Order: sequence, then structure tokens, then C-alpha cells
Amino acid sequence: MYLAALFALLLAALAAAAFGPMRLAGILIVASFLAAVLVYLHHATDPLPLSF
Amino acid sequence: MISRSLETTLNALALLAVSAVLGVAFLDQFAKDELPCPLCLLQRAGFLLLAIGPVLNVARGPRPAHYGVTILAGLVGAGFAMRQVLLHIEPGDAGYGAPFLGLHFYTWAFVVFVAAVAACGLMLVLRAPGEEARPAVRLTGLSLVAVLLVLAMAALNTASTLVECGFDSCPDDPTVYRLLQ
Repeated sequence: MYLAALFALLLAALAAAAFGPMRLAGILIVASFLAAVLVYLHHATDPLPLSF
Repeated sequence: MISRSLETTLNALALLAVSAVLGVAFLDQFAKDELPCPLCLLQRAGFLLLAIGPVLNVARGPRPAHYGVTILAGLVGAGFAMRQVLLHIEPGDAGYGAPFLGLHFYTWAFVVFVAAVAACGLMLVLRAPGEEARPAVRLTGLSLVAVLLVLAMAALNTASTLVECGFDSCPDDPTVYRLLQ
């Protein structure tokens, strides 16, 4: 669900970047970056198969 | 130095390239019936983040700050892709999904994200100084088509991800479209 929400947020950010006011675009762009990193952190729980 | 019109055209071509990458991912998803995992979807999101800078450049005029947005997106996307590369780095691991031109999609994604960062560096070196002071051009022709194509890709990914994951968390190894069950 939140991955679909992330894509919807990106769609809004891209549309605002192209056609909307710059202030709204800026807010949506920052929100998109934050949401993408938060979704990544939510999924990056498995340990990596690395040993040094 | 490159002219402003050439710079805008190159940004529109970059948007077409992002759409092509997402199109190939869709083709693989539907033609081979390979459902994208959460990390795969995150890399698609990374490509849409990568498109924000070129969209700003073609819609509002090229500026160094817009390239900065693209560089940040490239670093974030490369991080997503590298995580998946490292998950399958062990000898004998077959990787996730079928290879494409000899490499898995996440390896290609890492290469493209790094190439995008390098391309931004090159554009910042080659662009004429002071160009950002000029007023923005109207979104027409190739630029408009490229922007609309990227918007369509974002909309398609929203719909396909909703159908795949439903209203719950996406499984690590999806096998069915949950909303079609």
C-alpha cells in the first residue's frame, strides 16, 4: 500500500514540477525523497550476506 | 559550452530514457509475468525521482539546483540498487529475476543511476554560466511529450503496484497480483 502511495506522491511531485507552483513542487519533491528513504529503511531489514 | 536549447533537448532526451527504462521493466513484468519485489519497485521510484530534475529543467529552464536534485536522486537510487546487488552477492546465488543482456535489472539500475550522476556533472561543466537568469520557455514539442510520458509511467506504476500489493505491505517475493485474487 505504501509503495503505491509513494508512486502517487511521485506522480504529484512530477506534475507539480512541470505545471504547478514552485512552492508546492518543492514541498512534494522533498516529501518524495523522504518517503522513498523511509520505505527503503522499512524494507532494508534482512542482513546482507557479507563478511570481512 | 552548450546552448540553452541543446541543454533543454538533452534534458528531454533524459526523460525519454527514464521512460524507456520504466517501459522495459513493465514489459518484463507483463511479458514474462515476473512480479517486481519491493526493492525492485523502490528502484522504479528511484528512476521517477531521477526524472524530477529534468522535468524542472524543461518546464522552468535549466538551473544548477535542478541538476543537484538529479544528483541526489541518483545517489538515493544507486543506494537502493546496491542493496539488492549485495543481497545476491554470494557465490552460487542465482539472483532475483531473469538476467537482461547478461546482468540483472538491479545491476543495470545501479549502472544507470551512476551514469546519471556522471551526466549531471558533465552538464554542469558544459553549460553556459548565467543561463539561469533567462526566463523559462513554454513546455512544448519534445519536452511536453517527454514530461507527459514520465507522468504516464508514474501513473501506471501507481496502479500496477496497487494491484500487485493490494492494501497491505508488499511481500518480499510476490507471486500473485493480490487485488486480482
